[in-house]
Amino acid sequence: MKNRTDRVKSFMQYLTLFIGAAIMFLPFFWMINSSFKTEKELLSFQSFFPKQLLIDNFRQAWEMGDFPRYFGNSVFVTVVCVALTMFVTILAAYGFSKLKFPGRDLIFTVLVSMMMIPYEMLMLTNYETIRHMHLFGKIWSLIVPFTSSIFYTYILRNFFLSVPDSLYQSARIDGASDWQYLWEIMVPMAKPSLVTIALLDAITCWNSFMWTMLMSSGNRNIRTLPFGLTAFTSEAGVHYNLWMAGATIVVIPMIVLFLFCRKSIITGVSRGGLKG
Amino acid sequence: MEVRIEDLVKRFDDVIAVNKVNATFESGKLIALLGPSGCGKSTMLNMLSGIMPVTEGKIYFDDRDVTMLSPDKREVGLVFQNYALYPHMSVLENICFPLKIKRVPKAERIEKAKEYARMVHIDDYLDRLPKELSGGQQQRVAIARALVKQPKLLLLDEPLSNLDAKLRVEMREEIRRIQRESGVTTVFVTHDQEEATSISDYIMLMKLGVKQQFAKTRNLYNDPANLFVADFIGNPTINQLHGIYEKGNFRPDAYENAIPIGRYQIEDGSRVVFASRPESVIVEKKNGKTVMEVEETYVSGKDTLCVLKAGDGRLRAYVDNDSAPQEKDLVSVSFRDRGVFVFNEESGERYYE
Amino acid sequence: MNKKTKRYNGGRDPDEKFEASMIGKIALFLGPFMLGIVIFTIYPFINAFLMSFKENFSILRNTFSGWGLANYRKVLNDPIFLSGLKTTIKYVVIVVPISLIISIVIAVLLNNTRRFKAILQTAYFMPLVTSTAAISLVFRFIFANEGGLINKIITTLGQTQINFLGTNRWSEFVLYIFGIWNILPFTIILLLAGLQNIDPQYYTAAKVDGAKTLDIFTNITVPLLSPTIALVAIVNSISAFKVFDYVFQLYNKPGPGYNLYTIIYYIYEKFGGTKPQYGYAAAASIVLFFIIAVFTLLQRVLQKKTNY
Repeated sequence: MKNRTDRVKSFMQYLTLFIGAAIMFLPFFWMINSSFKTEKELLSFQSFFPKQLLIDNFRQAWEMGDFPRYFGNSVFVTVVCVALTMFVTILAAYGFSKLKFPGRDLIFTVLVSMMMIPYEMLMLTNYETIRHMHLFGKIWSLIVPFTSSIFYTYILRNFFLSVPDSLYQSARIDGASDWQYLWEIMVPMAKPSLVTIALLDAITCWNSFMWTMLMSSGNRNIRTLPFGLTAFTSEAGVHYNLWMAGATIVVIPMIVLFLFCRKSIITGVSRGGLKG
Repeated sequence: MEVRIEDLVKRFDDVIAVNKVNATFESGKLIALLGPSGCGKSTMLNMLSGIMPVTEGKIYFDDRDVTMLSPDKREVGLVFQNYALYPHMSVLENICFPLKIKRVPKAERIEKAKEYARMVHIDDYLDRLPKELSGGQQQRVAIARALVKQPKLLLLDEPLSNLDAKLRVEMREEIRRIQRESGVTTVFVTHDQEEATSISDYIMLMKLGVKQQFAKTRNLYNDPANLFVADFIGNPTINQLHGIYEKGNFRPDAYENAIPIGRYQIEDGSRVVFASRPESVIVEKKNGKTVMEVEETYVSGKDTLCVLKAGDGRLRAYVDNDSAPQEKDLVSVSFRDRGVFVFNEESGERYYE
Repeated sequence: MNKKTKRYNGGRDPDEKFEASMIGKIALFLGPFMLGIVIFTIYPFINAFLMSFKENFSILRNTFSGWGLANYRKVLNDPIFLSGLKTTIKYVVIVVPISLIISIVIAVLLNNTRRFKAILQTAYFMPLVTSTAAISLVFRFIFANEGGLINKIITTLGQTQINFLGTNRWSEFVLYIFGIWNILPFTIILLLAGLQNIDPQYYTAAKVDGAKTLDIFTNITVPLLSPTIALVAIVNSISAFKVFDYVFQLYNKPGPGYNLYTIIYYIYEKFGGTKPQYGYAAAASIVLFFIIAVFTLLQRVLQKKTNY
């Protein structure tokens, strides 16, 4: 039973939302749209859409910009970093939720309060530490400092804490050790939390910029996509068609990930925002 | 397997949860640990399973001292109050889990799991997840999982408390049947005396960490060791009148006439509690001795429960429907030999004839 | 040893065994994590503090002339740092409220939609996952003088084109737009989560009382959402205080006329530049830490109050 004003209201609501959505989406659209245009087409604004879908820009950027290497590095860093982080986080979350030892919760509270330290403050020393470890200019320098995450441990620990102790005792009586209990019972149960953590970590790793920039100043071969792209733009000069193709290469994998895991990413972010 | 506990003590900081308990659980029997909340019955169970370390004393399984053994080495099965089923595993996977940990080959463990699933009548639901089962079905899965590794001792923690009334009666008979079929020594914890008396072979009644009585179920009712036991077991509760014992008579505080109860080994003038089961109270037409007024009557089945006014005190008595008095009638009261006990008022200790 | 004490010890044994195996377990489960935290968080945190008090510190020779507040004096009197602080605060003050207002409107509208939910969510939340390094290029392109979409629209409308990226005033404007665009999805998600916690009963009650849409928005939604709004404002302020990437990615330098020099830019230059001054960098980072700590504590207090 909708009357006229209601219909007008609802129309205005959707109109506003779609205009906003269009503005939010514009950069993506313009990026992909432009990546198929020739440079001439692009500067002259002859037509809104590309005349034909040129993959020439991609080919050129791919070859000129060392993108195969950057892409490989990004994939390697993301996969290894996520895998290691997950492993370390699972163990730590278990330790901080299910092992009973004096001072456990106090230690964890202190750790949680350390989440407010800005990374920029730690960067100076970590830069030196990486040098001392002889990792500077090596790809592992992009991974090693980031495998212990207090925030992910915090999320997973909260889940582990919600699992009743009777499950643990039951598994112990069934003959399982702590190790078996963790991997056979807790980890499968925590799948939703783990997926969220893995996604958030993958996004962070893939997009990491400043640290990569610092670490790759000694060796351009370890650049990952985001900084590789920035470097490419200053090396290749202003060719917007190539820029857009390069940007598309960097962004597409994450967009695909987003389209598949929208719900998990959104819940992960909303949980993360209130972390403190 | 026979279970023997010796001087078992569990202390939490200052609180003594279990205090010097001794007992032997006969092999193949169903034993109930009974008592009000906080009596230490769950603590006892947790010490038997090995989840909780023992403060003092010993636990023997047959002749083997298992006091310090970790739970996985004790060969016990434990069913938790909330069942503790693994939520991400199907019924079959849940039952298989203990065997999987023992590295039993897959085909063999599935075979075995199915056998136990059949035994607890859950074999139609093997592919379901725990959340898709009713409480009673979850209970069955939990029992099958506890039994599948063929434990020497099965422990059940308040197994029926999470079920609704009808299921509770059904499941307690099931537990009885499964226990008989598997023949495994079983200990279960409950606070419900009716539950304990209806299925167990033996009952250990506890209060504040102290064993009150450990006996065959029937004997707990017919031959209570003290006032607490007499009071805890039986529904309706045993009648209790406070008063003084004098030369074979009991003189209630609340009632003018003395009641002849026979000779006990009690000093004259001692304060005692005279307790009688409702079915041991004989109600007759008024004939001069021990007259009381009928206050209320309730018909339940073939009997009528009469509430008799004994001064300020009350006596409940079961009377045949045919010979039941009316409310306000005056009747004469006497007592059978069985189901009548005298206890020390202060300590609750029982006096014998 | 009499019988009683022997038995007592026997009873205690399981606990002691427990203790011994516990140390092994702690090492196994917490070792890897704590190793990472100690090396890459705790040690550098302490070191940054120490470094900020070391005067004339040289990292190469690892020497310093003494302990003192010289670094702090220098940094807090450094006009470049102070202008960086000013630029950063201006960024926070502009980007946080504007993005918040837009987000509240969008979140409230989104919360009432039934249709097109997936497509709208995708459009609004996609910036969450995308590399700002990549999207900054798109912004540079859209705001470019030659071939830029915005200038094309402006000239088509008969106006003179604007040098967005080359002038101080407009480069700031582009940075704000970029900052707002980036922070919107996160803000909207948090507000949506907050909106979902509001009991729909209140809306029904207000409607029964005859409240109009706008009345409901100002009298019910905003007050009930205010705890979330406050939290989001603080979280966003913290991240806005750390603005650096956006500037660097848009301009490769602190703005066309050195006009977008932020606190992190200062830290970055003092420690990564041609003439590194670690002491200054450390002191500046500690100033930043205290600014963020104040905001974080504020957030904690709010969180406790609102039961989030």
